[in-house]
Amino acid sequence: MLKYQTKGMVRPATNLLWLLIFSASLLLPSSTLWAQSNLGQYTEEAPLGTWNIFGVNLAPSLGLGLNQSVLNLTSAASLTNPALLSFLPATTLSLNLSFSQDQLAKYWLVNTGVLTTNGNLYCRNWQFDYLGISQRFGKWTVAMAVAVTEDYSRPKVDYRLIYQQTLSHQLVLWQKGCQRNYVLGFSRNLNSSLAAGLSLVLRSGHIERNLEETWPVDGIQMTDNRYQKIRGFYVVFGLSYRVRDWLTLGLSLILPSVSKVSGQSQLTYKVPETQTNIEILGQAQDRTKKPMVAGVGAKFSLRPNLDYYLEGTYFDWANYAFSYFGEPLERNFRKVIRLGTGLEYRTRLKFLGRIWSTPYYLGFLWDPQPMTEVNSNYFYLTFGSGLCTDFISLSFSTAIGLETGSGQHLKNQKIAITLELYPGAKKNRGRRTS
Amino acid sequence: MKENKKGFPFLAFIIYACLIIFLSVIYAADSQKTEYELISLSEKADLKSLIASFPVDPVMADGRRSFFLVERKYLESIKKAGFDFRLEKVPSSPIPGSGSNLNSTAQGGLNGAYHSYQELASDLRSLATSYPGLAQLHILGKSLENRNIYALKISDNVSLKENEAKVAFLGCHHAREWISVEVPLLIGRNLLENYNGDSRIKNLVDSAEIWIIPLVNPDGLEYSILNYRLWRKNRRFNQDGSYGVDLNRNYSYQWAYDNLGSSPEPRAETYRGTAPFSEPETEAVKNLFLKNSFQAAISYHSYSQIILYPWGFMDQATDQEELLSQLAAQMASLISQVNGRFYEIGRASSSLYLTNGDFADWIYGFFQIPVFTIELPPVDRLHGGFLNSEEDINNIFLENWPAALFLLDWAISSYPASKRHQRILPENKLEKLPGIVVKDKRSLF
Repeated sequence: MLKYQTKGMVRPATNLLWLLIFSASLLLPSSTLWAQSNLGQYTEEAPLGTWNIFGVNLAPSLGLGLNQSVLNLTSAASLTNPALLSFLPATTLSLNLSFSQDQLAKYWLVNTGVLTTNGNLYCRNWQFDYLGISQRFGKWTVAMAVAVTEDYSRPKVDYRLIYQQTLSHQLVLWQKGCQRNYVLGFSRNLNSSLAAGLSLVLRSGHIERNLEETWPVDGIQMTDNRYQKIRGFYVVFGLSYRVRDWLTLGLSLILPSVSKVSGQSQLTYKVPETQTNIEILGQAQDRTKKPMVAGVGAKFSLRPNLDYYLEGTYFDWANYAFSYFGEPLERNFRKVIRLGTGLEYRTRLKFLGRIWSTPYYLGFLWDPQPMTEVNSNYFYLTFGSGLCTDFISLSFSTAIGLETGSGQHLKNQKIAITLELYPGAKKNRGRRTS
Repeated sequence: MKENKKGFPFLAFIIYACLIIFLSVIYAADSQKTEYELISLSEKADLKSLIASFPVDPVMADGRRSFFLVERKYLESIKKAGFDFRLEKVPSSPIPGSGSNLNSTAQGGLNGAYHSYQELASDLRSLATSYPGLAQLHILGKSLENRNIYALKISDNVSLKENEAKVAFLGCHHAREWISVEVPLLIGRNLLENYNGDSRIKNLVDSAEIWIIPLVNPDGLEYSILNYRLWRKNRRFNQDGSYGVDLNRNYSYQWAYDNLGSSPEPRAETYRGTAPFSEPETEAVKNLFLKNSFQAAISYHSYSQIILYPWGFMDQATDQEELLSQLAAQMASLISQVNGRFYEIGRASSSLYLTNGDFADWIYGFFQIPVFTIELPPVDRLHGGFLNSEEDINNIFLENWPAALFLLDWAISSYPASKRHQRILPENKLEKLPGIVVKDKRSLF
């Protein structure tokens, strides 16, 4: 049985045309994007794009409106609903390359009173953000993965004031950092229609922030460096239940957790001429209380080659707590529910002498942000495609997000290119169904 | 047996899953199950007998209600004893001993030995709690971002309004001048800590009401600590998209006298705001001074090492210039005797730069009392500008300590005479005050 079962064949030329269109869409020029950010979104610890992080989005998920709870196509399910690991091919190896482009209007010194920009700034990033394997042992499936789920980068700013052809003032600031998750996931088929899963996730990350300000004429240099190391652990629990042939339900639960954050800071002010050397060193042990996340998803198999996905994800942001270098900082967050929906249509084509399945993804996501100061919402349109056969799958998807509510018209774009290998496919054919 | 073998992994899985979930929930559980509750009672209640009868810790008073920390187990007994109290929501900032799971272990966070807003609030509460008969914490008002503007009142019989000289020490109108928070706070702390061991201090505290307002601009200070060290203004979001009003240009006396002493441009560092007292921070200070007749005041700033006195808005002498310069000279002399650091003295407008709408001009213009702006060290930006080393905090306080005591002494000794000039004058008399050029009578209020 092929990965994607279809009734009829579509002409190769038509498929290739669609593939071309989808591929071209990935190269949407960034200059056409405009965006907004609001005060409260890009606080010190805010991940780029959205606060509502739910696992890592590989291409199938991204193309299907970021659905995760019932999407059993990659081992990345270990981060959101490990029960779905049971429905993967016997052995899988997944690698994801992603591009993200996020607009920010206000962050740190930028547009908050010190530096003013004419428009929103972009933060662009290419990265390998997922590597995972899964292996089935009888009724058990085990997965191991490393995933980058949160990116703390900010656009670098280099401000220079040149007066009478002399640099009189310079201010350079940048921030970078990310959060990696090391996952060990288990799932078990409880019976032919029910599977349960559990993942243990080690969270590890860092945020590095640097500001350097100089007044060359006077020989004054001021720096402000901060480094934070993040460590934490959380548990993911999942269930998958095939109610009918045409209906599958998925339930995922990420339990609340506390991350430990070790911070170091150094503020300096130096003037060599007067031998002024002021240095304030700081250290802190902080806590970040991450809230519970619960997702419920349903997959409706409308036709043998057409699936419809619907998912609601609840983020308990009201119970989020954060302290920064020893100061509990107030975040007026509310609970939010994110809603996503997606459609997957599969065709087949003959290519390089093989029969390939070609899925097409189309999705939509409503992603309300937790800040209460501004009612900020992202609306994502997502689409993607791929080529799949017994032993390999290559998928690519994009999502374009528009924000409303803050008045800054922020925009996000994400691209994911996912490569999956199924080394044991010939021995274990037929396990993978979608 | 075969069945058992098959069932074992499944059973183990379920048990393991339950165990992990249970442990995670326990680990993540919010440990804010404080044993303490914050209660408030009307100022009219018999607070003395409450304190005498129950182990309650006074926290602060806002003029209408007094707040106490009390163990939950005593709540029922207090109620039965007839005390009509209100259970207050414990504020988000940690109260000592309340056991928040996000408690700072960061003595020496981003701001090192300097105080952030929350550290200051905690220290002020602690002082008020440790010296309940001598210190009372007041909230003068709220900042734009809803932080409290605290004032610590120090006096014997602190809960009473006595006919005593009143002196105010203010700090941090400007966010980046971190040292200006420390000096008034340390003045207050040392007055309290040395009350029992130093007869001079005891006499001063017994004979005066001393108001410590160490942080006029809490929002700006937090921005300065968290984001940009050299931030000056408050955090007003202006109409043109810029941020901040210079609080020391927002007082009403000769507000907007010209565009040299303050700026009409919202982006400017000396933006004076849309109207006198447009900012809640200056409004809070104004209300304190309107409700109390002060004899003298010092507003601490940095940097420059200068003791300034009015006028700032124009380069002309006040009618009390001789007194002001004498007091300033005495203070500068006392300061120099400690560390050998020399503070210049002079009229603000001619010694530093023109300022209109500042605190000192408003105090003098309205109340006719000696008021000084003390620009703390360093002397210039090549020696640190708005930054001082942590080691220098105590040195700067110590050199300013005798000057503060001197002004207290003066205020007490001149109290009967000065009191006659302290009344709030009716509007139609303002123009008759010597030395005041009134452009708009309403601006004084």
